[in-house]
Amino acid sequence: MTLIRFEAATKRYGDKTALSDLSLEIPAGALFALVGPNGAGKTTAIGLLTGLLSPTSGRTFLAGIDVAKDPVAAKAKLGFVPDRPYLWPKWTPRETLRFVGAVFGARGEALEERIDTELAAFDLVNVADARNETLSHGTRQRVALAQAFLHDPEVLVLDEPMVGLDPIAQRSLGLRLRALAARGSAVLLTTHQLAQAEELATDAGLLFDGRLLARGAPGALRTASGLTGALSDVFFALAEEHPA
Amino acid sequence: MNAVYRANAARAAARSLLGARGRARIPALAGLLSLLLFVALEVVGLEAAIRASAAALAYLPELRPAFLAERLLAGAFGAATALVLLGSLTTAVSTLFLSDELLALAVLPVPHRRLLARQAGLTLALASIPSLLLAIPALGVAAAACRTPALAAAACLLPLAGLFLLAGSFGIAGALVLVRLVPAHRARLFAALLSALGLSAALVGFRAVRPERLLDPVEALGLLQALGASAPPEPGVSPVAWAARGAALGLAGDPSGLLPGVALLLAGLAAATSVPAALVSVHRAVWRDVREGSAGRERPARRRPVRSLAGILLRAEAATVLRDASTPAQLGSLAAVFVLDILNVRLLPTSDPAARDLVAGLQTGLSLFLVAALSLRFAYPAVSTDGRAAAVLRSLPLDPRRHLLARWAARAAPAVAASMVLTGVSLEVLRPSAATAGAALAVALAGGLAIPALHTGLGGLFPRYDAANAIAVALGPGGLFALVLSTGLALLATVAVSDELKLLLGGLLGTRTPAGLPLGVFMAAAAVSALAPVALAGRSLTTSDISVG
Repeated sequence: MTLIRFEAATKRYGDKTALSDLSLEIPAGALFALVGPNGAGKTTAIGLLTGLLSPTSGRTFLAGIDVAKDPVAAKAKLGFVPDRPYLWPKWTPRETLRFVGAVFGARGEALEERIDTELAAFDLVNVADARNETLSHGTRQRVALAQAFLHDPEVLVLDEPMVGLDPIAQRSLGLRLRALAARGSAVLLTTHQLAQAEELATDAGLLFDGRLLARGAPGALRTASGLTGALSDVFFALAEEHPA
Repeated sequence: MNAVYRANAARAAARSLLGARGRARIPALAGLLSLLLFVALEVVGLEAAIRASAAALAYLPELRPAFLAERLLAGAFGAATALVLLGSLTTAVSTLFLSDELLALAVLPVPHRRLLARQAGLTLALASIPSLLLAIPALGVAAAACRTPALAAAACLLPLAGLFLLAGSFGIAGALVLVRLVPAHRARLFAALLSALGLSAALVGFRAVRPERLLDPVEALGLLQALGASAPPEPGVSPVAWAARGAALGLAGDPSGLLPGVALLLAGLAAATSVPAALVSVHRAVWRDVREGSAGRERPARRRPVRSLAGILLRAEAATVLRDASTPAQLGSLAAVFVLDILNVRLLPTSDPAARDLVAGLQTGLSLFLVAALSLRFAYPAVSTDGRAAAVLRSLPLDPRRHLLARWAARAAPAVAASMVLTGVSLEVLRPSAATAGAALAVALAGGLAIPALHTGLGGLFPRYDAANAIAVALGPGGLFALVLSTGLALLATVAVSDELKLLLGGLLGTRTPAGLPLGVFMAAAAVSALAPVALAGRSLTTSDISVG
């Protein structure tokens, strides 16, 4: 079952095309890495999927629901971690999770228990009642991750999720992403770190100058390109073939 | 800082003031127009006042214009100096200790002395802007009415600049002391509270001199004779009094009036350079303590499970508003204004039915204007205060229209309570006709509901997620635009309530206004101004691109 779908999605800002005719389907159980250099269109693609941006043409779907036509129903399937940990500064991590959980329909003690679980999972118990504005970048990133995992999303979208995390937290996040995908969710993450994408992802797409140059399992991409090195070698080879 | 830094900062300020392009420019342009309108009204009003004064003084030979001018200038200079002092105290806590920009600059190879001087200059500029905005057009009009306009302008502006530099420097030094004494995370709140208390005291002081006496010709004449028949006391060591003396002499065409101004300017420049220079080491130490003391401080929170979505939305709004460091101070200032309004009610004329009707209309309009001030601070920034978390909010399955409704509800309840109490107290004293009282209550209720909706909607239509805080959002061009619209609604309310004002309007327009028409127009205007911005904002927050980076 396809949980994430881009259908000829294009986004232009005036004369500049940030994303061009992206068509992509990601099935349940996939852990998909969208890789590309700065300005390739990764964050734009995520913006279209999460409703932050409206496509100039084309459509995006979450669990089969058109994001533009029924945004509330589509977003009910979504967990999202933006490229930086944007949190309400005056709230605490616990209040942030409570708010997000309530918006997803959770209530009462069941929600409180789930919040406690996520706070513990992301090592946030000691700062659960401190204001977000007083937390370090890495801690805020863990709060942002906890809120995205809180409702066991069918689709999890993460924009550069490893930035700001220490190696232990990175490893822990990797395990949780794999577990979520194993339970049948679709995970889409963007990253600059090609080695990380290769280690984590079951599937990858190479985005360059707003165009999807290739997609497939990291091994398959290597085979298709005729290269034998790491995913980064494939990426650099494709980038040289398609100058911006 | 070097020229490139200054140029970049100027470009960034222009970008944030004028918005990117297209729709984002609407509030900026509207705000600019509102500002020009305000200045034009100030200029026209002052010119009319000067003409009227000149005509009246011809009949009062015992009054000396120079004495009146000096006392008037002393009051104006004193008020402006107090405003700058309080403004710099509050602003300096932010610019000297909590500024992200200062943090970014501190890692560059720039001496701390220069950094502090730069932040002090910024503080002085920011704290002086509101007073300058009021003072420059007024002094311009006064100087233009003199025989030697250039001399008069110089004699007024030099001491004003000197007073601002002195007051700003004292405010900066006060902020350093405050942050040294008060725990860092409370300093901004304390500074804002001090400012609010100062402004409240000024308001009460202004009230204590009973300015309504000027409406009574006999009392007004007595007041003018007290102020204009005898020479003001010698300035002594008061810089404000010296500034007033110099400016008054300059306005009269006496070049010796420049001397106090030059002296005050030199003293101000000396204070503005020496205070930051003397306090470099203190600032460095206190700023380090502030940074080191700002780590997460947690306090176990009460477990309050969620029962409903509406409940959590209202709780979230309350947390955002009440935890803002400036909220208690802002509420304190507004409460002082509300108390003054109620205290004034017992002085209202109640003998004549026509006067009671007229004042009932004016009081209802004033109530809604005060509600507009409350709403500008707390309702207009409602959407913008999400800050960059707006990106997360947009990804949640929450209909923005429902969220706007919750934001409005959290702010409409106190707004309605305020408008009904203020109007109700006035009606209790005035006892106008039943029809007027009913109209006033209906207008107060509708206005109390509509104004927060208007502000919440406009704030959602033109959000500023990158603004430093709620006050910066409220005082931006969009906020000014929202205040102009809501003030228009408050003005319309006066005509909707008062039969006397309806007659006056009919006379001015040369038509007979049907009795119920102004009330109907007000209700329609309130409905449109509440529903249209909220509907447009709901649509915009659903479909427009969001960029918070």
